[in-house]
This record gives sequence, C-alpha cells and structure tokens, in this order.
Amino acid sequence: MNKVPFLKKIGLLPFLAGGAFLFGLVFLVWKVLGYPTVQPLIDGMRGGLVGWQSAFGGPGELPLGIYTTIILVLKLLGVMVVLILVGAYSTYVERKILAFMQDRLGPTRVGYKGLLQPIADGLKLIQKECIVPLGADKVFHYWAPILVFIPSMMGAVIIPFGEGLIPFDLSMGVLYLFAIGAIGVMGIFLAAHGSDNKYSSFGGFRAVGQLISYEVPLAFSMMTVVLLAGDIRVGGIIDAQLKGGGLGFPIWFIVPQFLGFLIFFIANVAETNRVPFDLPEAESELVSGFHTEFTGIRFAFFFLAEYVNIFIASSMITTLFLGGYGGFDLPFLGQTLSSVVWFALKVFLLFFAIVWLRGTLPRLRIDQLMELCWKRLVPLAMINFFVTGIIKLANEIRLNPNLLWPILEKGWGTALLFFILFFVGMVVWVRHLLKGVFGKPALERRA
Amino acid sequence: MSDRETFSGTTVLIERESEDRFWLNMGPQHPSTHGVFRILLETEGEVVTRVVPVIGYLHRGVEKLSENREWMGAIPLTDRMDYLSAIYSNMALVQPVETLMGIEVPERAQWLRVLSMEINRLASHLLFYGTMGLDLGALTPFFYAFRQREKVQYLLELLSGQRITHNYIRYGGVRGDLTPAIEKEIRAFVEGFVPALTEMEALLSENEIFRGRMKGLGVTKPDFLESYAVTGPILRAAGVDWDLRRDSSYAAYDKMDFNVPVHQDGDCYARWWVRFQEMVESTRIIQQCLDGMPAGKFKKPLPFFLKVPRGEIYQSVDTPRGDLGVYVVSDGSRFPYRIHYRAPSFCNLSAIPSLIEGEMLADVVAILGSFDPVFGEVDR
Repeated sequence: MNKVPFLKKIGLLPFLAGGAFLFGLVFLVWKVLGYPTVQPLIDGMRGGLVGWQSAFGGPGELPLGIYTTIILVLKLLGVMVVLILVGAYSTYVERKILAFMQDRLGPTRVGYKGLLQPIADGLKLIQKECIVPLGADKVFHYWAPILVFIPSMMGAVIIPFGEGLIPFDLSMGVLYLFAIGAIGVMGIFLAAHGSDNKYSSFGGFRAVGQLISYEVPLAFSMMTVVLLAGDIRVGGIIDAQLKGGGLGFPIWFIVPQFLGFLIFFIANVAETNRVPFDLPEAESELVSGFHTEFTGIRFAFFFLAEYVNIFIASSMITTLFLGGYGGFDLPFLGQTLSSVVWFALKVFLLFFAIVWLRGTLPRLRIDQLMELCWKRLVPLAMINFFVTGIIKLANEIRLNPNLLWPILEKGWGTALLFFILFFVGMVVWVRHLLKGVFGKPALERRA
Repeated sequence: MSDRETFSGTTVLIERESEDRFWLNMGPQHPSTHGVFRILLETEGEVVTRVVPVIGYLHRGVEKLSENREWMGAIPLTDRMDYLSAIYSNMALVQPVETLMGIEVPERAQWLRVLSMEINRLASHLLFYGTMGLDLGALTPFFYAFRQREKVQYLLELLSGQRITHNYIRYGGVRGDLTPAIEKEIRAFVEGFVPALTEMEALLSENEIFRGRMKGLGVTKPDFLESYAVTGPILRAAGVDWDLRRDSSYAAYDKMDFNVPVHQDGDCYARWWVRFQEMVESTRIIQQCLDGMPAGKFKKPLPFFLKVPRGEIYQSVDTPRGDLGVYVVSDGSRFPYRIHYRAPSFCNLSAIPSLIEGEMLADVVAILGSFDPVFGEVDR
C-alpha cells in the first residue's frame, strides 16, 4: 500500500497552499501599491458603519471597537445568508418561470408547490462524493470552485438592498465589482485547466475570452452613468437619480441613457454566462463546459456562484439605470421596507427578463459572440460615452458660465485630438458596417 | 507528427498535422450526436480541420436476422431500424413482397397506410424540430414539439397498439381498422395542431440568432448531394424536386393533393424549412385521408405462413429521412433468402464529414442535427 503523506491524506495541503498564495497576493498588493490603495476600502467600510450606527442607534454601553466588530460580522453574515438564499431560490424561480413558458409544471414535489426543492437540491449536492478525475490537477480542482464562489459573494457587499441598507458603500464604488470579477475568471480557467478534460478546456478558453471581452462595453456604459451622476459610489449614483445630484434634476438614468442601459444589460447577460451567451457551458457541444468534471459541493459552488452573479448583475442594472431602491412609499410598510420592496421588484423584473431570454433564444456561435462585442457594443458604448461627456460638459458650462474660458484655454489641444480620433474611428467603423463585414461568418464558408 | 491518444479506453496512434491541433473525441456518449454516433475531430482552436466518423455502435444485424424468420417475422425487425418513423420501414418491406406475390391490396387499406405514414411523419419531424432547437441551445422548441408529439404518439397507439415499434402495416393491408372513435380523435388533434404549428414557426423562423446560426451553414449543391446519393428533405432543400410519394405514387398517394416543399439554398435553414413545411403538407394529407376514406376491408386475409414466389425485386418509399429502398430476394420458401435495406440515414450521413471540415465546433452539432440521422437505421 502506498504511504500517503498526512497533510495530503486529510486534504489540508491545497488549503495551506492556496491560503499562502492568497496571503502572499494580499501582502504583495499592500507592499507594492502601498496604503493609499487600501485606504478607500477602509474609509468606505467606516463610512458604511457610521451610517448603520446612526440607523440602529449609537454604540451605547459597549466600547466602540467591540461594537463595530459585532456590526461588521453581523453585516457580513447577513449578506451571506441573503445571498445564499437568493442564489438557491432564484434556481426555483427560474425553473418555475421556464416551466410557465414551456407549458409544463416545474418542481412540484418537495414542499408546497415545490418550495423546498432548492433545499433538497442543496442537501443532495452536499452529501454527494466529490469525484476528482485521475489526471486532474488536484490543487486547481480543489481551489477553482472556491475561487469562483468567493468573489461573487464578495461583490455583493456593495449592493444597495434598500434605503440606508448598503452594507459597505465603498468610496471606490462600482469599480470594486470589476476588481472582484477578474478573480472569478481566473477560477473558471483553473477549473477548466485542472480537470484534464478537453471539453472543459474548450469551455475555459471560451469563458476567459468572453468574460474579458464583455468587460469593455460593460465598463464603458457604467462609466457613462458615473459621468452623469458625478459620483462613483453606489449610494451617490442612486442619490443622483432620486434627488438630482448630477444633472440638476432627478431622473432615472435609463431615460437619458437608454442605449447605455441596453449595452450594460447585454454585456451583463454575457458576463453571467446566460443564454444566448452561454457558450462556456454549451451543453449541446461541450457537455457542460468548464464544470463538466465537478460533482457534489464543488459543482454546487459553481452553480450558486452563477445565480449570485445574476443577482449582482440585476442589482447593478437596477442601481445604475432604474433608480436603485427608489419608488414611492407603500402603505403600511414605512420608508425603509418599501425601498427594499422596490429594489426587490426591480431586480426580479430584470431576472425575469434574463430567464425570458433563456426561454426564447438559441445560442450564438463564438465568432458571432466576439463580433457582437468588439464590432458593435464596444464602438457604440464608446460613442455613447463620448457624446454623453460632451453633453455633460455643456450642461456644466450652462450651469456655471465662468467655467467656459478656463476649459477652452487648458483643454483645447486634448479636445481637438479627441475629436480627430473620434472622427477617424467613426469613419473606419461606418465603412466597415457598409461593407457588410458583420453579416459574413468569420470563416470562409464552403460553396 | 504522431501522437498517442486514448479514446474510450483504447489507445490509438493518430497523426497530427501541427502542434496547435488536437483530437477531440465526440461520442458515442455525447448529448447531441443523436444516438450513438462517434466523431473524432481534429480541432485548431474552435475550427475543425479533420473529421473521422465512426459508426456501428448500434449494429444488430437486422438483415441477417430477417433470413432466419418467417416473412411475417421480418416486419417487426424493420420497426427497430428507423425507430422514429417505423411505419415507413414497415411499408418499405411490405410493398415489394406484395408485388412479388401479386396481392391486390384493398383500397381502404391503402388509404389507411397513407394516413398512418403521414401521422408518423409528423412524429418524426416534430422530434427533428425539437432537437434542432436543442442543438442550437434553445430549450423551449423542444417542449413545444414534444407536447404535440405526445398526442401524435397517442394517435399511433390507438391505430397500431404500440407507441414506438408500431408494426402496423402488414402483408395485404394494415393491422387495425380506423374506427369512428379513432377518427374523432385524429380530427380533434389536427384541429389543434394547425395553430400549434404557426406558434412553433413563429418561435424560430424569424429569430435573428437562429437565422444567423443556420443560414449559409453547411451549404450543399445538388450534384454534391447526388454524388453521395443523399435523398429526402436534404435533397429537396438544395433545390431538387424529388419526392417518391408524388413521382412513383405508391399506396394511395396518387389520390392525394399535396405540394412538395422545395428550397433553393441548400443550407441548414433550408433543411429546417423544408421539414417544417412537410409537416404542414402532412396535416393536409391527413385531413384528405379522413374526409375521403373509402369503405371496405382494411386487410386481405392471408395465411400466416406466407410463401413468396421465387424472384427478386427492389422498391423504395419516401420516408421522413429520404428514400428507403428494399431489395428482396425470395427462393420460394417460407423464409426470405436475402433482404437488403438501402437506409437513407446511412447515405445522408456519408455526406456530413466533408461538410463539417473547416467549420466551427458549434456548427458540427448544427450540421449533424440538420441532417437528422437515425442511428438505428445507419447501423441496422
């Protein structure tokens, strides 16, 4: 019999290795980039805490340190519980909606109208064996689901659940989501690489290409909103829509930014690997893509992360374009609770739209996917950003005419350069469109 | 450059053309190879550069088995070939044998044959409609199709007593008569099926992504298809007006009024369109069968142990997949001397590898799906 090292036997080795890796990463970031990078994070947490303290009353008898620690832990636990429940029950809701669209019943057996189905699914997945393929890279195979799951949970801490209910209103705001999202891509690639399966590799390659590509239009349309709001914090963006911070009058940003909303919505559907962009897990070609070789709780992590990501995406669309938790006060509920209801309602509508897409559309091919991103969404998002910028600038000058001369004096060179670049880009793009390059497939088709 | 690759537990030596390529084994256990088909794909990124199809996983020796059975016993074996349109296989075997024996089949039996075959065509094309959607990643068409297909299966069960292996068409007629109760059921079904078809077409035909995926993909020219002896909807989708139902008018098809849908493009979308239009025509034929069904016997009484006179004959019928030809040799005994089936799926499948080469991985599934092969028939 082979002698198995103790650490390997109890499965601690990957834990230790991964822990050391993550610790090293954090340490490196801290050392190289210095305190100022981390400062906004901490400030944001403090700001959020102060807000919560004022909402729930002061520290009282407890020392401030203990009080803040308790609040911190409670907040994190609350976010986690809410997210896991939302993630689990959005599978149920999706199955019910799809069933409604496809003339069938959906889950009906476990509990009243199948309401306990997600819990039964979870229990089943937890007690199943985690099968590791013979040729798999055990460390990657162990860590990949965790590396996908944790960032999606981390991203949720800036979701504005209701008025005064933003767990951490970070000063780096919505940029935080991008920083966190990039880690998830790495997890997907590790899952694909560590499985020793060609279908998984295909899924991983597709996922990485797709996620990185669609972050570009996503970021552009998001920055357009930030430009309009004049604030990058989540709370600030919502306030700008409800109280009129950025433009001078309150308006949901879906009205001036409808194009941006469409781009952001499409890019978000692609970022969450949903139909019609579910190429990384295309079951008709790749069996199930990067998570083909995962079972039990490891598969559950991927599954849960996917639905949590949809939830985050929907709440970000709500925050940026649909006025966040804004809405009139509902009777008998009070201000805070009705804001939570409004937020949930908007998120549910967006979730319904995403499921609706799944019930209707086939899947794109990989070249069509890339064309849609780089040749349509990215130029459109850039034009949108540019035009919005000009209008915003004009609005600023209208509000404050004294600004006109300093802007012209200091910025004419840059403005001219940008105008020329913009014009050249437009000419190239429109000629491209007119030549009909988009309609043709990337490969020469056999006659 | 050669490389050792392990496929399904066996290690084989396969040449690779460059370092950037690797071999991907698709099937025999794969969600969208429509049964037990296995393709080895040499891929460079997403593009397939070479294809090696492997068939034979469902070989049961139907032709050899038939030689050791009575003439009557050969019919149930044909059900097991093309299990999606079993009645057509019955018809393909029964027709040449009747011609050899010189049997006059009653008029009502001929009409019943047409009726059952066209209902079976609906079942087969509905499955194609559903799986084509699944191959492209759309879930809903599958459920729409199977909701209707369930009713079709029920009708076939009423007629033949079986849901899949119908064994309906016998020498000299059919197994069971069309009772007024069954006729009522069929009429009710057709009434609901026509609006359902409109709904199903609206779901896919105008869908931008569906058209983008299917148009211009796997384009076939008529001479290319003829060189591979491809028949059926695939040939009609390439602009060749060829339908044995109309051209050789067996059974009671000469009394029916129907169109043969033909599309000029020859791509995946054309194949989908032709099959869909055939469903519309089938409902028309079913309606005509119900309206004009002649009275009389549904079967000519024959002895159970048939003796077919010495001779040989080849006849073919138009199935949902193409021309199913049967070559029958009889030595005058109670057993068939030799039966050979010209299976349309087998011929159609042979054209696929040259279409797949140079396409992308996702299109492999789409092209295979648009050819709609049944592997029970390919391997026999």
